[in-house]
Amino acid sequence: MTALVVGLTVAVALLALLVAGLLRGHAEVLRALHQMGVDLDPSASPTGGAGPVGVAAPTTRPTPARPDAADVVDLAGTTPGGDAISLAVSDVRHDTLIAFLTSGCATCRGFWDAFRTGPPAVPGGARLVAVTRGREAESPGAIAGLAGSTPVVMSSELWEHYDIPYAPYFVYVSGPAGRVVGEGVAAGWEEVKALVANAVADGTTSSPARRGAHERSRADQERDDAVDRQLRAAGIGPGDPRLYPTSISDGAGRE
Amino acid sequence: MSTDRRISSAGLSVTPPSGWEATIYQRPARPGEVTYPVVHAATVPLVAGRGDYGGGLVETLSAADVFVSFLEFGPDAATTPLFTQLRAVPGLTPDMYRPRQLQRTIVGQAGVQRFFTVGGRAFCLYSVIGAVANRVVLTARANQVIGSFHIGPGA
Repeated sequence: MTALVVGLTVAVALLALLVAGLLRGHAEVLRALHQMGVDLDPSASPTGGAGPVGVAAPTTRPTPARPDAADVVDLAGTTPGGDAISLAVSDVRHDTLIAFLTSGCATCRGFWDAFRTGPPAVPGGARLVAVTRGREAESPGAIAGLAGSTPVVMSSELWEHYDIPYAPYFVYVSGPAGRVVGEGVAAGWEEVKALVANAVADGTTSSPARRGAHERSRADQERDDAVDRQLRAAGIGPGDPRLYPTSISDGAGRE
Repeated sequence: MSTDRRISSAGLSVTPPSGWEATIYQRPARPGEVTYPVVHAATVPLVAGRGDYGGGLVETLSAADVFVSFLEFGPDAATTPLFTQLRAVPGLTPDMYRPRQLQRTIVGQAGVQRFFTVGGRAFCLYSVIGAVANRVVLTARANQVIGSFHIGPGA
């Protein structure tokens, strides 16, 4: 009889632990959904019923502490090797995709694995930089082993300035515009590429094609200069009407 | 926008102006070797694998870009005439940049090299501009970052 009572007591205790674990897991799921903008409270529905749950629009900035998209700072910190470094993200010709990652989160591990074989191509030709928390929170050795040749800046201050809510989190900064033009969470590299591609397609950042409209290679510049010199030697300056023939025969006739 | 771009290491500090990148690093020493800090600053991305004198990076400079480096030498060098002629971080003038002062000649570019000592520490300043034709403007840009370079006691 005593053995039966003890056995039942143990069974009840185990079941209580199981239920407590399930409730805790449920609470964590609800908390995560809440952070993503999903509210399962029926009273929160406009209809008052249990209709479709509301999900924050992708364009909604999930970091209200950074109301100004132009509030970007360069990436100053240390490398996993201990070097002091400051990488420019604004007032530069290139765009930057900042990947805020940790060494511990399982989803981040997928990105580290992708980066370790070499920085993957980013739509728009942006530069990829991984940012981790500082040395007080991350092991430089572990980060060095994860990152491969991808540039890494370790700085907890950057996480605070960009108000990063969780990892992995991506911020796309337009260098010429000096502002954040896309950001969000992503579970895989394909989602990141879509986020960046949307920013590029929206015309809010500079793609290589657009940059090419403003920048010229040295060879092109030298070729133009040579043409200008030849024209000047022939007595043809800017605005000369001979530069604008009204017809092919007109231009040929002036030869 | 925050302008706190100042970085420091090994008793050296530099504050890259807007649009500049900078790093202070020291290569790991091999057995029997002693290495010293190097400072790099550039208006282009600091690519991985570049040399101490900017090899691998200067090739990416456009006509509007500048590269600046400070290379520390050992304490023995600090007492040699080459380094003791200048006892402050030198400013640059446009005429100092010469196409022939490049570590490796690249058409259109120009470089300058100066040696100096501060607080018993010996340095070489080496800078490259992307276009000698733009040296007046680019020298001013180089002096912006050179002026932010400070030397304290070694680590």
